[in-house]
Amino acid sequence: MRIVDMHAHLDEVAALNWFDTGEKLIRLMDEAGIELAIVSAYLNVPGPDMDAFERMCRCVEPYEGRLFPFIRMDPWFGQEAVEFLENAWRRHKNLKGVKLHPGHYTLHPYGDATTALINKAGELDLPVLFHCGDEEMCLPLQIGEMMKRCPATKVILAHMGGLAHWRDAISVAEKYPNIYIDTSEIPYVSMIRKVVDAIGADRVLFGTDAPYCDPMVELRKVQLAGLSEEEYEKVCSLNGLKLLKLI
Amino acid sequence: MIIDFHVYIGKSMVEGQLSVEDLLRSMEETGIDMSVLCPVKTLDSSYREQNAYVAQLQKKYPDKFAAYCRVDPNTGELGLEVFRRGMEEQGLKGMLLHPWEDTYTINDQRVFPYIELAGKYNVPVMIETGYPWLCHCFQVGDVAQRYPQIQFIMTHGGQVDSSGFSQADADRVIANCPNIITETSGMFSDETIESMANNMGPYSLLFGSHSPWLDVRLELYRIRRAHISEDKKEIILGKNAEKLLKL
Repeated sequence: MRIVDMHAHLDEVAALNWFDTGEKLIRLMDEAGIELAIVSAYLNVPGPDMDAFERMCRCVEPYEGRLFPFIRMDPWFGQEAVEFLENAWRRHKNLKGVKLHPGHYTLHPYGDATTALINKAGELDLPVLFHCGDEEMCLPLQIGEMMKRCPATKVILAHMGGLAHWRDAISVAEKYPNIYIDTSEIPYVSMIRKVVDAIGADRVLFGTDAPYCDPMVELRKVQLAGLSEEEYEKVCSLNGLKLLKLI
Repeated sequence: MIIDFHVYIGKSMVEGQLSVEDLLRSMEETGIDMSVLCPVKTLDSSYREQNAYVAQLQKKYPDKFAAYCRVDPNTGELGLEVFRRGMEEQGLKGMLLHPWEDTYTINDQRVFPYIELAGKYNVPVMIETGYPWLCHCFQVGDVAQRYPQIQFIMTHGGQVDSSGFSQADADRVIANCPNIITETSGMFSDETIESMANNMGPYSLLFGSHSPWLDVRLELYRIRRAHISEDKKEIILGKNAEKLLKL
């Protein structure tokens, strides 16, 4: 089975004391038997470091076919951000999606700036991965409010919505067929079963949040969730491959 | 010897339950020799009933169970009396504080008489940590620094923030407070388990599962698969607990 990690990171940010290289990530992926991973940086573009995305793309280059970039963005920049996304999409044929962390750039997901960027991603057929976990501006229902205005974009709620908001993640996914949920980081094994029971296995994606989290532990978490073989294959492989248009 | 230092037993009003039979079966299956029992939240806000329950289990299965005394500082003098009874008549092994479930700020003045009483009996204080506003690791660190002679157990690696931004806070608190031992349940950053075990030494970490909310199989795997020596794993999985329980 081709295991696909839909949520990993690659960046070196001294200010946060986070030093996550491609080499480190690939070593962890190899250990866990993960074939390919979606990576995003820790810094947004546009932003103080306008090279953040290009730098990550250079780090991805040696691992062609195994690491695919999502561009981590800041919608505060309005039209400039929308154009930045389109330019990045033209330049990087391996760009697979957009990553947003509203708690990082401090904007409500349903505001004009974010919805314009989300709709541009939908126009380019790029899925958008939202950090979604118990924090201000990152709550599932706030993202659900945004979905009213973004019917054509596939949106992934990370971390199953968070420790206290997984029910909300399910209700948003029940309402919007273009919502996906990833399993990364959150330590609740039983929650995976609940999510699959509620929305089916086709929109649940395996993710690790590596290297912060250990892919071996993250994979074990899904294996312990009591999924059928078919459900497991969808979550850990097929759903990701389809979303990334790799099958 | 493997000791799970963090197991809630009984039926909690906060959507979770674990029976003695299920716990004993799970311990048998996972190779856990002893569990530290924590009283669950019920309508009895004094915790008299649940403390009596875990004390009775400790007495019935002295080789399998040790038990902590849970108190709610919102109950004032009543809770202090419950704790005295737990120490003098019930043979309980430490104090459990759950600011999130019982709704108080861990470094509020009303909590201090409780901490001082635990100090009088020379037993550790286990604090459910990482929940926002009430028991952020810096608030737990504040308490630990006020009472340097008391041993504190900080659960969940000190943080449950899925952004990872609080990890730096937890690292700082752990470095500032030699009287804190960090419990491992749900520690998002498996890398931190390895770096703490290797840099600060294995005496800084204490294995716990936070059952039944978290899955003991995954929590055990988190330690077992870490890139640290077997000797260090033994210390984290059992020896530190033996010392805290004065076995």
